[in-house]
Amino acid sequence: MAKFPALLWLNFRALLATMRVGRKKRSFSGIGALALLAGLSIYISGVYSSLLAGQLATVGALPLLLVLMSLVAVILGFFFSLFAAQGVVFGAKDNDLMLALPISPFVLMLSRTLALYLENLVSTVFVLLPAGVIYLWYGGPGGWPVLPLLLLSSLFLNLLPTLLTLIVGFVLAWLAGRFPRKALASSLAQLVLLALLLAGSIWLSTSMHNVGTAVPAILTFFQGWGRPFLMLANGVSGGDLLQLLALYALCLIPFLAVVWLFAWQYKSIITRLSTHRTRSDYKLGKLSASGQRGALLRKEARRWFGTPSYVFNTGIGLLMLPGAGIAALIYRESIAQFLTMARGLSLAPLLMVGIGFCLSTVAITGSSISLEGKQLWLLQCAPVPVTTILGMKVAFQLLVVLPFLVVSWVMLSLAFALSPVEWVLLLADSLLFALLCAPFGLWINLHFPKLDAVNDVIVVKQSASAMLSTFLPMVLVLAFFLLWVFAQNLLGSLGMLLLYGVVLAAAALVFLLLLIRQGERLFHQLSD
Amino acid sequence: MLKIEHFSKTYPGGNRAVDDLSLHVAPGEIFGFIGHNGAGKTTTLRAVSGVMDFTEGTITIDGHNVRTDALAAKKVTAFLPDNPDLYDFLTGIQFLNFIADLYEIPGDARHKLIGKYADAFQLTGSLGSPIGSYSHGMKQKLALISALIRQPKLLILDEPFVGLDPSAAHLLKQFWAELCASGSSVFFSTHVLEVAEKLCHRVAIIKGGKLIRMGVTSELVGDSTLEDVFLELEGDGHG
Repeated sequence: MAKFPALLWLNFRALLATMRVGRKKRSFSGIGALALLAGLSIYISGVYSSLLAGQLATVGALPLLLVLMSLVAVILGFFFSLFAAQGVVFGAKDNDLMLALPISPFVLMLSRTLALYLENLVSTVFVLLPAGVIYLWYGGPGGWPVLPLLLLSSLFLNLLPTLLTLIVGFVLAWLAGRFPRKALASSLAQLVLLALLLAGSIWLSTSMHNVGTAVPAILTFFQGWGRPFLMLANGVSGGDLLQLLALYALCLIPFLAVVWLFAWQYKSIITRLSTHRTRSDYKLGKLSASGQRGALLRKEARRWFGTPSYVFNTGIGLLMLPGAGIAALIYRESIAQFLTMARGLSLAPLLMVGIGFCLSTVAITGSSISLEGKQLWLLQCAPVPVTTILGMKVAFQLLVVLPFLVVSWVMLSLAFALSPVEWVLLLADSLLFALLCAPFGLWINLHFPKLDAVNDVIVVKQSASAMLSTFLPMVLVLAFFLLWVFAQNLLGSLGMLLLYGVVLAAAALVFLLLLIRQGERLFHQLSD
Repeated sequence: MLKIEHFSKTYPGGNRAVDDLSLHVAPGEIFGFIGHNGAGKTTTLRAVSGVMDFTEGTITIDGHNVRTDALAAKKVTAFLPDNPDLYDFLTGIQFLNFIADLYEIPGDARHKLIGKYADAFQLTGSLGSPIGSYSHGMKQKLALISALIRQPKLLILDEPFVGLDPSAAHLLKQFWAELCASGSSVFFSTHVLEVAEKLCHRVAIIKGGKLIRMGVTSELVGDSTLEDVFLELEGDGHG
């Protein structure tokens, strides 16, 4: 049994190491990763709890805050660790090594699951505790024992997202291995999940605006499938220990049952998942030659389309762009009415903020170097200039982004009845933002490469570069938004779009130049 | 074909992996590079192939300086690391086409060369499958085919026989002989001293980053075996 803590430590370190990057001088520690996860959870919890608490307090339904936020904790935990379950529990590359050690598959599975649980626990605790503090701040019943009870409950509630990620991670891994086009199958399954998540968040956002009047409907929901969350709130705020014990049992029993089932069959499961069949009926046909640039672009495309987690994590914004355009066209009349009522309000800069947000999430180049991983030698010894290699990575991102961008630009401009000058400036700003994001992501990835990740999921989902190349452009988007809030009267719509354009053009130029000047040196340093 | 002059490599952190190494590989020569683990063999091969940057010394391939004329040097070189990781998301034929595009091999020539080498290694039927589904040996064969279709003037290989089945190893030796007959050279590292003794025109032994012996294999070995020579040099405190 002494092996179990060692295995747990190893697997937890493996999860944390997903944030660490190759070069020691610029490394982000695992603790840093946990801090980032905790910070993000506190931010989300703080924003949602404050918005909800104000409305719930006025209708005397403050305990519902704990109900809703425990649901948010489960959803967040699920979202954060879904890919870890697929990658670390069912798709780890060290399975052969681990199974060859004198460790039972049962213990191996348990240690990986518990590592997943510990990672999830960070988000669960840091969603529930701020919610508890805000709950008490607004005078929620229960007094100070609410906080320790919430902390204790989070230990059990956290079993739910861990259980869900295990099941869904297994299904995704199984689907990926069953279909001839397994990458496509996995991408589709993940897109369905994404749609469900988006629908859930839209429902939550919509509910938040009229949560005061929707209390009876929300209660009805939580008396059905959402009962565990209601039990948590009743137990914590009302001191009903029986309800708390029932909740703990509800979380613990299915978790133990499923984990036992997976652990019992673990060796067989991972053996089946890792079995590949090779066809032997290929006949060599005519082969056509193309240039180096074409070859590199096709390689980037095949990697992107052939790596479901890559498509999923960097393709959300691509779906959101036309989605927003279609929604805007559907609600065109409502938008027109709103614009008539709010005469003089300039929305074109706000549209730019929305487009910028979507484009920030399409950080394909942010993982592009890391995903070369151990295959980097192929590019390093190829007779191709480094500028061409890097240039094709940038070009691929732009090729993917631009069609979606142009289509959504047309739809949004029509729906919001922009003036011709605003049309042009919005397009120019959007293109400049796309032109900034692609080289910026690559530059970041060259500085923070993760070439030794155990799987691709870790690179695109949790690496420092993937996060920085997504979130730093969002900071710029936030700055644009604040400018719109505070300076729209001063600068006007056109002035703001022009200012955005100048800033974006300068930033894009800076990062393109940085890539041209430093790219080759940074690329060569990857070998050290 | 290959000239290494006073090459040294110090890794970040101060580890001097190779210290003042000089050696020449002549056209048509098979040159074996021998040493214990961590002796500096892989570092040297990676520097020669352009995979790793270095600041001390000069390396030229077919007259092209690896640092100042890197693209021309890479164009005439094929390098295979000890455990060649390939793109799992590509099929075998897509990978070979990718390599052929990077090395600008015309369509007709690539068809002929891929056919020749894939048939020889009995891999043609599997070229339509994703590399991710290949066994270790199949990946190694595919990597070898990708190197051979370039018809390199200098073939650089790190432990090429590890993981190859006997028939594939035999084929590889034949293809080396073909390459050398056309004036190309082979520069490879190995731990299999019997192979080095039989195949190599010349060998170099490296220890602790320093060259401790180099010469024509038959002269170096004399009446002994390469294994005896190697063990004797390893034991007598050279370097």
